[in-house]
Amino acid sequence: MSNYAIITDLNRCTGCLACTVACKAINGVDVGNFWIKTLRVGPHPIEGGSGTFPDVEMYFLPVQCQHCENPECVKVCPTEASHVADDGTIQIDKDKCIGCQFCAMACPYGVRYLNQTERVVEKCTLCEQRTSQGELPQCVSQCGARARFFGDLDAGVENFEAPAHPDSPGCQYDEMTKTRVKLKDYVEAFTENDIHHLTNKGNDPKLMYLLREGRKWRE
Amino acid sequence: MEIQWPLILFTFFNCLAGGIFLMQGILTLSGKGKQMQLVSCVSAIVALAVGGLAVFFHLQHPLRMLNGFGHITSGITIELIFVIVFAVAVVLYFLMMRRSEEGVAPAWCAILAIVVSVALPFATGDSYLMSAIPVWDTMLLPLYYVVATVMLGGLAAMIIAGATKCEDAVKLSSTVALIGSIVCAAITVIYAVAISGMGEHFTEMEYYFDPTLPDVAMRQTEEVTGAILAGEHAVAFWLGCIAVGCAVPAVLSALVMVGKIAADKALIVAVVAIVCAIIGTIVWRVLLYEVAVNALIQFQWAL
Repeated sequence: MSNYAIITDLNRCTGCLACTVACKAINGVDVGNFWIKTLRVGPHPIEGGSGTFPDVEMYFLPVQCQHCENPECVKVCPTEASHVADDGTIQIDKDKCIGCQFCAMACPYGVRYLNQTERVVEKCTLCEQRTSQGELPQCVSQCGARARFFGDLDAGVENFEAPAHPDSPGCQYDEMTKTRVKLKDYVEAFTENDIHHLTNKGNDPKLMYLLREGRKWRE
Repeated sequence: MEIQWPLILFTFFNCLAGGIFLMQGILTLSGKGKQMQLVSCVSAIVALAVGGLAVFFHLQHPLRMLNGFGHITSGITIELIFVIVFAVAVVLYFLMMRRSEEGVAPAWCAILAIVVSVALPFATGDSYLMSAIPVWDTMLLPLYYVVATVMLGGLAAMIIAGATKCEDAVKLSSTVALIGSIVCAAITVIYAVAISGMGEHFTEMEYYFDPTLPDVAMRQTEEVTGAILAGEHAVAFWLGCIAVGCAVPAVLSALVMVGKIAADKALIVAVVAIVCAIIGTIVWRVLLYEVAVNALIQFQWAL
């Protein structure tokens, strides 16, 4: 049993949309649908500043299924197509989905989409096809700023991992994919107060965001 | 959120079916409406079936329902259970009516009719309560469905009474229609006022940009909460929902009730009244979709 999640260091995220594109490519996400989207939050005036540039702040916010502890989508699903998997992620059994789309309505983050071809609701699976083989979710693998880290919450967020450069140039695929850095060893120092979640509407989102150094988290 | 017409029609026909059967239950309990029992039962089942047909246009894989609804506590499953219970109650009423020597269903059947007819619209409304959509996440939604059921039931019973020449049912039906219309207007206004005060349920980021929806403007809470009472939907609300949808049916029902309109002309008046009521209740359902904005206002559905 595990309890998978992702933490994104928003001080590192450059809003390059690599996560959005990588997810679409690896998961064959329908045109117009996005299992992860990257919002720009701001620019907002800094408190006490002039109110105009350069006294502004902003950050990018990658938003995907938050794989909640208490998911609303699972509560409203009449067929148990949306369910909590053994690894703690929220998954959709497409064969059970009747396409009522109530899960999409009930999700506070708007991250569920109707696949017009298969006529079932889809969303981020946290790349279970990859993580079950020990690989990282594609959005973590291809994060252009190494801002995203994946891991098991039960093992502690500080041990979440991101891909790193192998020492040997021209290494093989296995070595390349297994070379990783841990959150605690790579990002700037942070405290518990710097870890944020998207607004909780009773669903207890599990994915986390790091934002610090005076930048204000906007819910 | 985009207007989901199949769901609007489904909820409307659920209310209509419930209203017809509710009114028959009230009439039977009052010792009236004997001639219209069969037509009421058939009309209720037809309305339920049309509603069920409408929802098939919403579901992407309706036949997978045959695999069973495994999640018994989900709103949709509970709604389906109440639909089935309602249909069983109508059939039971019909069978007991046919078995009865007097040709009237027994009182317990009438009470059962009233109970299931109130429970059906309540369960229908209850399935839409979700914290992600503040304007739906209130008990005023199922309450509205119940009062709309009473209004539609009274008006439908006036029509059925007129068509079956069941004159003893006209006065009671018009009385219920009058009460239903007035209460429906009151609950609709209370609901609209409640929506205007729901600002605290929304979280907004002030400035944001969603690159997946580049042509959708930023939204602010006031655009949602202020839209119905005095905003962009005010005309539709006051004219469509309240004046046409409730006031006209109330006036027409009152005229029939006090005898200003002869019983033989009540049928035509009732048809006009129910058309107005249908316009009003459909407009309100459409408005509830128009203001169904995510509690986290920057996260928008692609629905």
